[in-house]
Amino acid sequence: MEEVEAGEAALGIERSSDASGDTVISLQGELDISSADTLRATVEEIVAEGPSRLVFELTGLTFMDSSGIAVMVYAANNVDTVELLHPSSIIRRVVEATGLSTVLRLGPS
Amino acid sequence: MGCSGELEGSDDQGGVVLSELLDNPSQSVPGPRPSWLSGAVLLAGLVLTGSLAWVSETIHDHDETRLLNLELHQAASVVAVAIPSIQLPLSSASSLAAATDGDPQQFRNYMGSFVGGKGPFVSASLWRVENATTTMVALVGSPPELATTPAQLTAALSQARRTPTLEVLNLLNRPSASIGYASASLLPPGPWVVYAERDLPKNRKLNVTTNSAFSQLNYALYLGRSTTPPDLLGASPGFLSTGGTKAKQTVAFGSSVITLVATPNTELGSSLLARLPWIVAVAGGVLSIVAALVTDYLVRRRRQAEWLAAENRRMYSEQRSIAEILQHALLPQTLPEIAGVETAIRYVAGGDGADVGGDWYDVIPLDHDHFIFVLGDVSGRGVEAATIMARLHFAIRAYAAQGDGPAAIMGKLGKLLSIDSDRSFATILCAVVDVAGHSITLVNAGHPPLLMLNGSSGAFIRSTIFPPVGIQESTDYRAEHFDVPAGATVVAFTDGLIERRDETIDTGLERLRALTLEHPLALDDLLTKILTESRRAGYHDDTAILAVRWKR
Repeated sequence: MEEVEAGEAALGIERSSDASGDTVISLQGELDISSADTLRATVEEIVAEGPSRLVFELTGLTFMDSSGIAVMVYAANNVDTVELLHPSSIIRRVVEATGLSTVLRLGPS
Repeated sequence: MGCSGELEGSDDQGGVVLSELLDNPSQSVPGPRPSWLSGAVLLAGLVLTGSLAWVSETIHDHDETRLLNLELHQAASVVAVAIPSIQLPLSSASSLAAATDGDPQQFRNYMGSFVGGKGPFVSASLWRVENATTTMVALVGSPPELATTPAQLTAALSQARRTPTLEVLNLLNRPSASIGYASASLLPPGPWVVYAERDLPKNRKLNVTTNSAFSQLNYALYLGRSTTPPDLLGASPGFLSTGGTKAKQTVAFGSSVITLVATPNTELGSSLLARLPWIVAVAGGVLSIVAALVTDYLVRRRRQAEWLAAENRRMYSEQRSIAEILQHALLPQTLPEIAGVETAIRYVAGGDGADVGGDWYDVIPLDHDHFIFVLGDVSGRGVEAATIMARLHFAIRAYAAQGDGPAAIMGKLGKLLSIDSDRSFATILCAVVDVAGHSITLVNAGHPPLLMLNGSSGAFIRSTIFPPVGIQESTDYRAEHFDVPAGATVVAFTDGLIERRDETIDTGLERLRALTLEHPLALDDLLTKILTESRRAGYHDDTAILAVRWKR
């Protein structure tokens, strides 16, 4: 698990595979400008592997700002299927209010 | 007509930072100037070394003086021991004369072995001294030199007869350069006085064997207490040429004294002690220099580190200020006056001292009845966000100038920004206002909704929220038309005003709406209140607010 210090908050990034063998990135804590670059680096590594599907497990993610959204959109633009699983209502509303419901596919909370 | 613009937060800072940049071009790397501290260390080391060297030199001097006195004392005792070799034959001869009633033959027999080449004397004579008359009874060797001055001879012999002390006569300034001795026998008492003379070597140089008590000394012997050349009995070859410490001691020699003056011809003490001051001085000096160099090195290291830290701070503030300058250059300080409406803006840089964000606003007059207003927010921060913001800002102005409406403008912007290469996107609210027609036609690309206030009621305009600019190269933006009641106010803002980490965006929007409902306020007062209340609730991001109020 990678830990990115961001003031008093931190983002945990954990990479794994789900039952169908697709890559899962589990996020814990807050995804903001101070941690987005680290996540972007992880996502770029995965994109370079050319997967057809990428899953973000957002159960532990409590906050996401526009920098975080930018990373998610980058993933969505470069992987055929990107799924955001279990977003909190805060995350869900950030995505909706930014007009990205059609770009980022949010799973059920 | 009335319009006001106010930039909060970084307005003054930007100016200050800019002037700092101009006044203080980068500081230079710390040069080879030695630090005062290392100088102080060197000075302290040298002072300490000097003190130690002085102390050891003093100890050494004291030691040398003590040793010299010791040597001299030793030499003096040798001299003292030598004296009886003169006194003994004379007193024995006088006792013999008393015992034999002045037998000349006995005297000659006895003294013969002490006079001439075999003995110390050149002349020895026996005298009868009675009342004021002196008569020589016997003579061995040369006639006495003192006899050439009979008065002196009589006085000396008379004096000798009265005391048991050997009478010593200084005849050094006579041609023969001799010493006279007069000795009388008191036990048994009699009129007999023995007188003898001894010559000194003409050059008055004394030879000393190397292992004698004098071997380490240059010395001189004087008869009497005076140490002037006429009274010199003898001196070692190097004495007169030797300067330095001299020690003086007197040895009783009959009625006179022998004064012994000596000076060391070599170090009397250990050679280590003699060299100690130099050893201390050299070692201390070297240590002081090493300590000073080490101090200097450490000071330089610290200075270097401080310089680097300052340089980093400077570069950071420079970077921040470049972004601020850029942002300020783009954000209009005053809004153009538009007939029929009142406009106001607020801009606050990020409250936590982080890099500036990419918020911007613009008001672009089209004709006497229409104008475009824009509120945008580039994701990310710093110079990159500011340059992207500049790109979009000028592009919108250019497209507006060629007559494009909000939908066309937004559609074209998608080619200017790509999240893949720029790592950023932008949320933009772009609206064209028909003042007389009391309407707004707008496109919202991922931006917070427009708040419309009418009297004591307020609501967010429910327009379609399209994806932000930069997400896709082409997005089918469509403008939507909304009527605005007379006297109503529309407020556009960036998400910095409402975003909180622990709540949904809806909570933030509702809090903002509630803030605006209490009383209808003057436009400036309204924005001040919104900012103040939001700031009280705490926020981190940049915030821009733009408000338009219809006068009728």
